[in-house]
Amino acid sequence: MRNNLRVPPLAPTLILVALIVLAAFAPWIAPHDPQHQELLARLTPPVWAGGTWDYPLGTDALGRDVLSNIIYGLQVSLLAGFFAVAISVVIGATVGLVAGYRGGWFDTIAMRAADIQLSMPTVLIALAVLAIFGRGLWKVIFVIGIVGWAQYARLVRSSVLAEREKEYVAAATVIGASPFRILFRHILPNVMGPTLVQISVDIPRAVELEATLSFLGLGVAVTTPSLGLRIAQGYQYLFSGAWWTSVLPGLTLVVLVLCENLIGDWLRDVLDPRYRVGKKIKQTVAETTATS
Amino acid sequence: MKNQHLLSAAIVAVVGLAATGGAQAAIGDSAQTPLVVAWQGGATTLDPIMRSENTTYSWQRHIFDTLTFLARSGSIEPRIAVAWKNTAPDTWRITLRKNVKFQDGTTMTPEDVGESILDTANNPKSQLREFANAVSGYKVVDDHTLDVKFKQPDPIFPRHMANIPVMPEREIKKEGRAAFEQHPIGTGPYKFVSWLAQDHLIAEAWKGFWGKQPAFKYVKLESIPNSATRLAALLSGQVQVAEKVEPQDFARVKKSGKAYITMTNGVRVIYLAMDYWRKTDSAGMAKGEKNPFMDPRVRKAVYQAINTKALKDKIFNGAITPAAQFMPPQLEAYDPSLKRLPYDPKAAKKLLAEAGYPHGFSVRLDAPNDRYLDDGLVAQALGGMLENIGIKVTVNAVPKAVFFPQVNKGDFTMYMAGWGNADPISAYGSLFHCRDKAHGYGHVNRMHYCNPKADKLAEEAATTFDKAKRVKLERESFHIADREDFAYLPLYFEDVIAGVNDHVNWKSRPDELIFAWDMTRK
Amino acid sequence: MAAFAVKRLAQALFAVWVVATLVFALIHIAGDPIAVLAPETMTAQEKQDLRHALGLDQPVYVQYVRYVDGVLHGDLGVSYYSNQPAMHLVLERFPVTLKLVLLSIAIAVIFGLPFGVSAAMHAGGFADRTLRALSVLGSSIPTFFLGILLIFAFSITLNLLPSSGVGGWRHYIMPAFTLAFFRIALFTRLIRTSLLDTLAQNYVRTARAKGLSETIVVYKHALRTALLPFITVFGLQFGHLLAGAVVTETIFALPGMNRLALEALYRLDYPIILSYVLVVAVLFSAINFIVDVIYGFVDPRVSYAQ
Repeated sequence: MRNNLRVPPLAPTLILVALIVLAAFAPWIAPHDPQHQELLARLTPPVWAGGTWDYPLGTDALGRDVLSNIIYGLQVSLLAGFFAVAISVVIGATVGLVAGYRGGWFDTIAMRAADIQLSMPTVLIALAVLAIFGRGLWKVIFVIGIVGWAQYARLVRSSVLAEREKEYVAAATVIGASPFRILFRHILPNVMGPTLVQISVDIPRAVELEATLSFLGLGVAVTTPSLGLRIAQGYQYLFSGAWWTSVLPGLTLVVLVLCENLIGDWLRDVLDPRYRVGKKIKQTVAETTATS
Repeated sequence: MKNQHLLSAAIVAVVGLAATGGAQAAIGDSAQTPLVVAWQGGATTLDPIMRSENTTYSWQRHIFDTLTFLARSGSIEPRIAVAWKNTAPDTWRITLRKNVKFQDGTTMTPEDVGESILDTANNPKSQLREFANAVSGYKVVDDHTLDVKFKQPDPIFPRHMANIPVMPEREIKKEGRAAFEQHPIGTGPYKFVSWLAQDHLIAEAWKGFWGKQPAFKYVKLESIPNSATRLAALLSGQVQVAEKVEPQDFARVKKSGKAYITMTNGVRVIYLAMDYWRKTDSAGMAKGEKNPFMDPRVRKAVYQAINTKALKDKIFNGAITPAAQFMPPQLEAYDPSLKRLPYDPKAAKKLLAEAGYPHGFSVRLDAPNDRYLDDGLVAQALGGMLENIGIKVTVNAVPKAVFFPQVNKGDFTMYMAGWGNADPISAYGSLFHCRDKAHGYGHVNRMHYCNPKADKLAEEAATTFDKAKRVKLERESFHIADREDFAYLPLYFEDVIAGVNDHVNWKSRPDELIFAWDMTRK
Repeated sequence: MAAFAVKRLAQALFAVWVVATLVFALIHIAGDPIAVLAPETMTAQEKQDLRHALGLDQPVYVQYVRYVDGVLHGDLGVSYYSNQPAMHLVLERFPVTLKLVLLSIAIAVIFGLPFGVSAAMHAGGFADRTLRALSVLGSSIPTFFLGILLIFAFSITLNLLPSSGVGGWRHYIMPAFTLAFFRIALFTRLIRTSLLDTLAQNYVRTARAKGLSETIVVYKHALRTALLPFITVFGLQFGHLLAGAVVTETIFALPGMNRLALEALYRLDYPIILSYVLVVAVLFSAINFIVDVIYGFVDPRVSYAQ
């Protein structure tokens, strides 16, 4: 058991920070331009498998440096994760706020829409939209962002409903506090916890979704160094022995998502009241089993 | 300990099971061990006129026969039609094979053939209309003779007949096309057993076929989209023929001792096209910028900047043939005396400077990434080569479903695509002729190339029955486009590659079609 | 009960209509199916004929009215790429998808249930921590990458399992496991949490106080209640799996309905896309409805009057 829940898990945090630094300083860290092709050096294996230090993780079928592509690919993944979720939060929170405050027909329609949205698989909606509007990193980010609004709308709305009933809000309204003041002073602090937890779940999900869409050929443009796209491109070469073009970007993706998930897991322990109850239960269980 | 034994026993059992699955004993002899041929995609329909796309077309031609047949050399062979001659400029007299039966036992009549031709020509869903759209009607002369009448003379109709399938037209009229497609009936060597659209077709040799019985009685034609898994299936014995083996896998196949690679010079040319009509504001360049490709010197510079030998060696492992002209050797308009201009980046730079671009310019190169062999790779390599002479290229390689609509509406300055050459006349009329909607010319001429002098020669060729004269006219027209105007820059002809099991004898065809009845035992 | 069912049915129909209409509107912004369907050699006139034959020359609202009318008469039109009714093509491939989904659900439950129970019984212990780590790992490997790794290991390297298509049960092993992997992790977590919640409740304590063994307490008393939230998630997951199988079907080249729909999307084969959407929407609604009903039976606290 971790003794102090306030401290995030060390290894995942360090790795995630390292990955973020790699992505942020990609132009200075990456040994090559990720798009640069050296046809003469195509499919060079990684250095430990007979390659050279010019290309530490080898090259792909076009002679592009795998390491540089991974570093820039991290950039794409992190951008996708961050901005897509930011979009979800903005849309969801706005809809949730209005629905909670105004109620009435807007509330009904918004919540019905959220139900429908939540019951449809995201991959499918995203695929349909991208098939129609074409590929591109920002299109992918917007699509992932837009299809993720429903959870946030629900969270914010229920919090607004709960707060609206409370006396201090009613009092604040009576003394003429603006709705914005009430929003920032009372409602936001209350939804912060569950929202953060939801964000911690959604960021890795968005990263995965971008990779999946790109893998299926409907994500970013082929020249964008997305990890999913590189995995797809390398997949064709798996059989001829060039496993590194596909497996290395894949492992990077797994490590990134794993770290995000582990940190999210910790965050949930800290912030989500339900899990805190869970902890209490654990103690109770331990006690009762001990006595029986 | 005991558990360990159990575990190893289980492993042995699983391995044993897997091994028996790949047994080679009697391929094609029973319904349980059919000859399996794997394509990248699957046929969408078994209606033999509805799709001209290669896979669908190949699958259908196991059940359906065509009037004539194109040999690998490009020569026209008799099939359902055994002889043909033009009795008047607007009439071809076709002699039909005797005693041909459909797979339901009924005898094929001249009416079936005549109606099949009209169906091919007029059915709005037909994708083979170009092969029969000059036909106006037919007249039955006797039980095996048919006069086909034409609106315009069509000197190469015998070649076109290689694409016209024979269908049981009375049946179709009776039960409708949807029902006919559920249980297709043709005069071909195999009869339909079952299928799942876009996935597989199971067929069985048909005893009543007029010609030679196929070597493999039971066949399964199937789709395995991923080339790595398709190859795995070939090498493990799950399939006997796999199309489109990736060049980097050749060595693996050769080493396996179970299969070999067949490679044939194909008729599909991969070319570069460049905006020929917008003096400024071309779609793939910055707003307000001049379009450099209006100058033939720039197009020639691009030509000489492209190192086709590097493409051949580095990307294709030898599996392409650099193109000196748009026409492949299998077609009559091919001019054997033409050689490809040398790869010469220095000369290219000089040409650019002469044209007023000593420092190059920036342009977008559009290309599909899932249509031709390694197309996305080639586009990126081309980008690199052009960069060497100072042209800054942004490569935009997209799925074909995005690419074709985009270039069709003129959203490009420079694009890479391919053309599966079937005959010189339709190639010229579609791609090179000045755009002319009213006469159906130039509908694939997306870059608006236009040279009336060459057009006149080509139009004359299209109505010339004398072969020597026609060929001369064709060559002249293509020469103007290829060498004077540098209209399209032909890059290379794709080789047609397939992996074949050592027990099967087969050579791939230049037109990329694959027929199981064309394969023999080894 | 009847009123509840009618109300839910009405809601479900409404949802189906909304989704179908949205997709109809979306794909008609998309672009021109003819541009993808017609070969390069077709002339403008021939393309026009084709457009007319497929009804695509009509204004969009006329096409919409025809579509709705067709749906009401059970006719969703003919695929642009064959003469077959689109709905037939979709349903023809439904069994493959269903088999895949049922198998992977079975795998997920077979692994997830005991994992979840043992994690809860040994909460905080070694098994719990290991399972928790594994479940985080499980939800961190993207489905498509797992599929690739499996193909690489079992098809390409070891040559033990077929990597594509359907032929027998062996063809389903890797796809079903790939699809189930994430759900094993999910079910483990879910059952763990919900079982822990239940174990803390009074009647369980009473059972324990009566001196019943821990195994009996868990399996006979607690698990039943703990399964309630599981049923909801199970229902949701079932729906998501039906359509989420698109990645698995693509990687393993299974001829399921999702891959058909994906290909139809690339090709802009509207009738197939619309049939598929209708099938999925109806399935979703049906599953949600069934889950609600089951929930009512299992948990007497749910009142249909609401």
